[in-house]
Amino acid sequence: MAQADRAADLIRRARAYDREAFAELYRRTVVPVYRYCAVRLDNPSDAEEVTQEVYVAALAGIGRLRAEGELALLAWLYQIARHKLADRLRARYRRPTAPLAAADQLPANEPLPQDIAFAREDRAAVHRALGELTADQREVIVCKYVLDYDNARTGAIVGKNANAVNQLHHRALARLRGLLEGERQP
Amino acid sequence: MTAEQPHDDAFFEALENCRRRMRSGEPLAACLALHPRVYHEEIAALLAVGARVAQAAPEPAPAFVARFEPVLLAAVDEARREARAQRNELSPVGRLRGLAGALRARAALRAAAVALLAGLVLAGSGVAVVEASGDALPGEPLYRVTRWRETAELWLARSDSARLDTRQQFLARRTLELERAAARQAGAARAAEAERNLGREVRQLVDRAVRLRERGDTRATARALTAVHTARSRVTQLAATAPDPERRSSLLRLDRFLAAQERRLREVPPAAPTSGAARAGRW
Repeated sequence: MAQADRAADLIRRARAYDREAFAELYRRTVVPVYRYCAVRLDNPSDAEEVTQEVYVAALAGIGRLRAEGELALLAWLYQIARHKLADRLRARYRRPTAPLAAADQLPANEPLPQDIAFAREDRAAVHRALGELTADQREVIVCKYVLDYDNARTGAIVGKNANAVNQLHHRALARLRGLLEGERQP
Repeated sequence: MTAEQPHDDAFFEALENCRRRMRSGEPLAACLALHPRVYHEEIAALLAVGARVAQAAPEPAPAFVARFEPVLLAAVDEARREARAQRNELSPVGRLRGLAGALRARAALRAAAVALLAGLVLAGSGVAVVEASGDALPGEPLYRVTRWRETAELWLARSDSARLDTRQQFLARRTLELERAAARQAGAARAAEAERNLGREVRQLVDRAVRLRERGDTRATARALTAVHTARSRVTQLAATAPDPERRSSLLRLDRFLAAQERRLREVPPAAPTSGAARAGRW
């Protein structure tokens, strides 16, 4: 069976709540969906929770899904993830947590190496900078550097042609560069 | 070339080309050598930023991926059962067929179920009453029929695990009732009753799941967690869209209660005795 037909068959069976189809759909998509969420959140447990919420919402809405191909399915899951992330980030804005909350995830008796602390601070800086981009710029950056999509796939996710994707790609990177260099200034 | 200078399509292509090649493992220098020297400095700086973004999105922990899959699939099973039940509820024949199947499965309780059904027939117009009760809201006369039917369903469940499934279905109904109450603008008293019923249903489901877990059913709490989580998502959504501040506040209180019950399910140790404290926060 061709890949496109296989994806369409998987979606059709998942719509009928076929256990095996849903399991395969989950296994195929969970890594990109998780990474899509994780790049916006400081805490791995938050990323896990949002990922769970995405699949619960996907199960609730699968009957209304009209997608036939794998890319359209992923675009739908990312759209759900965008809404869930917006809810999560709004809630955090209302109820701010201490910075470097991910430190709580480490066992208390383990030393905290400098490089781990630095990597965590760097991630937090990237999360903040991503939050400053426009929605389209952020989407293109996530597609290219988190999901490793080419222009055609990125264009399908953000609904832009290759030309627009190229321009958004460059503007977003230049803006991120400015924001991240600004963070390093004393 | 600097960020301030205008960029042409050739620059965009070079940037994308180097991104692709670096992601497939080629060294940056090898890619830059293919493009005009004036681009090199900026492309290198921009791709370093891209690499930082890539590092900020770790892969999921394999333990998480493996742990969530059975929870999700239990929810898929529940959704399939619910969809079948709804199809059966649509047709009186399907409803009678479902009842007949249940009766065959639980011969010892056949008499009780038949008596209950006979009671319904005597009380009103039989199957039509059962049919109409499906849409009834708390406080409406036919709602009692819904609850009688549920009592029968619990009797007919063949095992503790099946009773947990049944409780999950009841929770889905309570959630639907709450949504219907909101959609019909059924009045504060009925909406409050629907909220209380949902809270009670969750507590009964969680109590049963914790008991089963203590008896060694390792999937019981995961199944209940999915059901509670689904109900909570809908309550959160209702709270977000509630036009009335009092209703919103009440729904947010229910949301917090459901969050506490989720924590209780997550934290239950495999063989710990049920603690009184764990039941704190009754609805």
